Amino acid sequence: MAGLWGLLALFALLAAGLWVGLALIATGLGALALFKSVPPVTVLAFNIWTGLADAGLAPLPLFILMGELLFRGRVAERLFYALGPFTTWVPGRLLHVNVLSCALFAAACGSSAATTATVGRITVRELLDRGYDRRLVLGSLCGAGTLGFLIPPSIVLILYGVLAEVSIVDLFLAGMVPGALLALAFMAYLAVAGRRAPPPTTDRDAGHGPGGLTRGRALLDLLPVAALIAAVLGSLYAGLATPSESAVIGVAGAAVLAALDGSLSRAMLAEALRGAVRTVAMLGLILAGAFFLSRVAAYLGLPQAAAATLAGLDLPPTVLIAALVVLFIGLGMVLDGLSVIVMTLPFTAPLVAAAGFDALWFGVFLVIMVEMAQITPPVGFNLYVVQSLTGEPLSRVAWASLPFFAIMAAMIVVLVLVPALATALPAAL
Amino acid sequence: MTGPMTTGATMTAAFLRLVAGAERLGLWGASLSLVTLVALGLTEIGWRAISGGGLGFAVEYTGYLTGLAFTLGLGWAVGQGGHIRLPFLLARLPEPAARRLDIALSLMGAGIAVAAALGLVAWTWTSAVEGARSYFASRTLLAIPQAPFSLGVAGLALSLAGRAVRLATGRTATGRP
Amino acid sequence: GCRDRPAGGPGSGPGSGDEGRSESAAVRWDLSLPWSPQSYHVANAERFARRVEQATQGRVRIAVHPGGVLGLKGPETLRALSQGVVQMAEMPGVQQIGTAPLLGLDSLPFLVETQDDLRRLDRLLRPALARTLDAHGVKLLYRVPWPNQNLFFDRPVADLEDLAGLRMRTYDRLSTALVRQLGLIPVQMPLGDVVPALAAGAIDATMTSTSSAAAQRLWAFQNQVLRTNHTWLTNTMAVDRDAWERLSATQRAAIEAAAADLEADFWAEARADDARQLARLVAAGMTVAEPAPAFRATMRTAARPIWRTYLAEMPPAPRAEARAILDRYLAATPGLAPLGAPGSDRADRRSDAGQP
Ligand code: NA
Ligand code: NA
Repeated sequence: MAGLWGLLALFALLAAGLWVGLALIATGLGALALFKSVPPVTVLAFNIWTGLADAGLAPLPLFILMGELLFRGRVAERLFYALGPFTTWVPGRLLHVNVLSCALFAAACGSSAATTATVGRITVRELLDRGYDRRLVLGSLCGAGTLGFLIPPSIVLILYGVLAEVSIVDLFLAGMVPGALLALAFMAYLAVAGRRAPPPTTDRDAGHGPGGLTRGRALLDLLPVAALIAAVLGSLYAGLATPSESAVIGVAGAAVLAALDGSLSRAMLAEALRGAVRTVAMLGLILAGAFFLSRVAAYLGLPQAAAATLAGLDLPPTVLIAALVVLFIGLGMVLDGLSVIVMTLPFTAPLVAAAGFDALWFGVFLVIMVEMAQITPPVGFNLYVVQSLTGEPLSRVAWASLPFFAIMAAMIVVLVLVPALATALPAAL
Repeated sequence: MTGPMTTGATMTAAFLRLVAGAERLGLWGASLSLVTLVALGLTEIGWRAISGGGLGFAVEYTGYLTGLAFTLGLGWAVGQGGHIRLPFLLARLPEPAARRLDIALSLMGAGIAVAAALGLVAWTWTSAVEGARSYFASRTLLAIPQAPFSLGVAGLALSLAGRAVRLATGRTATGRP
Repeated sequence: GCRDRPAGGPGSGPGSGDEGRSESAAVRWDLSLPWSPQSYHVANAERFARRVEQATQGRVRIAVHPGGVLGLKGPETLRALSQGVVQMAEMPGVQQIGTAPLLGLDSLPFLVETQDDLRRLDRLLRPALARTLDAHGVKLLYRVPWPNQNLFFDRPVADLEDLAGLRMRTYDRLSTALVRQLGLIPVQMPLGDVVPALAAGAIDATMTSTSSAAAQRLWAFQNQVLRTNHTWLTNTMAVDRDAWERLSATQRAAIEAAAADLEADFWAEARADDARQLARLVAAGMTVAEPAPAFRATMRTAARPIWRTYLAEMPPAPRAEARAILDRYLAATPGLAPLGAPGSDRADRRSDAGQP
């Protein structure tokens, strides 16, 4: 009952137009005041402080700042000039840039919101300027941005590994094939959908025709981005930097690139900081609300109760997985995906193990569920990031993401049919 | 007859200037937090490369600075229309009704933010009174990072109140006072 | 139903208000633990909750929330408890020393090396601990030790020289100081960050308990277990005093009896878990070694200045109390030299034969 009333209250506040983070906070405060004997405001303050003042979140603001610096420099422009000649023969052409960039950036960044914000800052304006289909641009960014969780490093996989006592190295390996498959599936969709609405050839891209000389020139334009990615990835995988430090290297590298191409100035830095503060504050308010409401749900034992109910039904394996998909999509609509994993795992993990599924497999399954939660309204962090980048209404962004949501759902079906996609690589190595 | 109205208008303008000032201060603080976060990380990486040992307080202070980067700009983002809402109803209502609803939502938002800010101020206050220190080697007094953090959330409340006043006095929702 | 508060809320009917004193109204407490659901600390807490429910005829029900889902991760637990964020929580003492320095006394490096030592110290310390917690509005229920603490490496370590320059995870100020004294680079982080840090190469070595090492599957990154037992961590299970005082005297007595009754079992469980988890580490291919006597002696000598710093940083009142407890414990423990003036330390003459 508490859950139902809370959900109704939340939807009413959101529909009335209250800011999302504040609506989450208000719902949590109300639920605590009505159903628990703890001081709601104190619990709220405690959760805002411990939730946001966390070194583990540092890559989020840092990568957002990096994206702002790249956006205001000439890196993005050069990247597109460079890629243009190579994609002329691919159906969908530059539409694939979002997926490829996200997959690449996901290898350096453990967070989906940071992946979406950084890549989106670089790609969206360039793609829209070139006249690519708005829906496909926004949707592919939202969808591919979620790869931040599936392609290692991944905060979701690390959290699951610690909770379920599964090797994190094996989990990272397990995520690789499904992550790559998902990226390919996104690109296949873009190739089909992008062919129906062929992008206009702009003068800018035509100027760099497919001649050998221009291709060589184009490769030179790719160098700065390649160097930056190499620095961020290299520092992380060579063990020189922790995840938050590799984000610091990304910011410094972006500033160096801007200095090299002459776009760095006091005014440019000030603009980049203003842009970053705006996005970081926007995410900060929603994160505070999502953390708090997720903790309130834990106080009330709601996700636990839902998972326990499911456990009592004694379902056959495939029906069980289908029921879990419904459960996680439902919870992921309004709660923070990571919190949902923490709260439900004690109930779902033994259930899934008893049904004969591997613990590594379940980790990959959960990550895809959390990824889907990132793009389901009303609380979907990737949707907010893209809304904030483009100024598009949330409903439009959510609609644009729907095909990619469907592709992820299809990926779950494939994973159930062929579990080896997740388990074969860790078993072989 | 013009006296009280002029006074009221002056007070409104003064309040909005205060809000705008607080927002600029928040923008500065959040920017400074981001820059310091980068500087701290670079120093830690460099120092470790040179001396083999880390700074010791890098992880702890990265946490505080991340928190400040998230909260100090909360108020300024209100002034920029940066926070996210679903304009479902607002976009469909006729202008006077939409404005009244927006005023109500701004006041309600300010109320929620005031609750959060009061909770944080109380939390900071007990930290200060108890002399609570971090469990890290630095033994930092927790009230020191908590105080600006709480102010950031208070800034959110102030900006939302300012937004209500702007709308109620016929101004645009965002912009200069 | 989800409503667990008899008073307040719409339609709560008669009987609202005086929820505590009346024996007919059920009380529900939320208990937060930061450890994973598989941990024996969580199993202990669940057993305690069942016993309390039985002993109070179902009038006091404790909902156990493992995994830190209520947002209490370890540090700041004492403050959260005293502010009423939860009614009950289990906390590691060392992480609370910024709020209540006395809670770190039994975790001074090389002060306690066996459960017998710990029991001796606990008898001296517990009354003072209970008073300290009471001053924060918190009531102590029971204490449970962690299993042995070990150092973990990715290479064989014969002597102290092999350690120079390694980056080691530490968990608090005291272990950070010890590691620095030994010439390593301390990197303080909570347990959950250890594996990511190892995976990212941000640390080379780890210090943690046998149980946590097994839970985190450290064998993916480390292959040597050095049984240093350099410190002994103990958790404190505590309840918010406001919530406690709302219970009837009979209920309080029943809960205290349950705590006293189960605590010995919980301590035995800590010992058993050490053996169980060490076997898991060995089965996963880790090599277990005892530190050489000279190595151990060097570590013990390095520990003494940390005791002094710990005492010096305390406010005067708890310092006098802590010093008195420490002196009595040192006098009562065979082989431990008294704590004299700086530089005057006699070497401890503990036999290592009794090492578990
Ligand atoms: Na990633
Ligand atoms: Na969602």
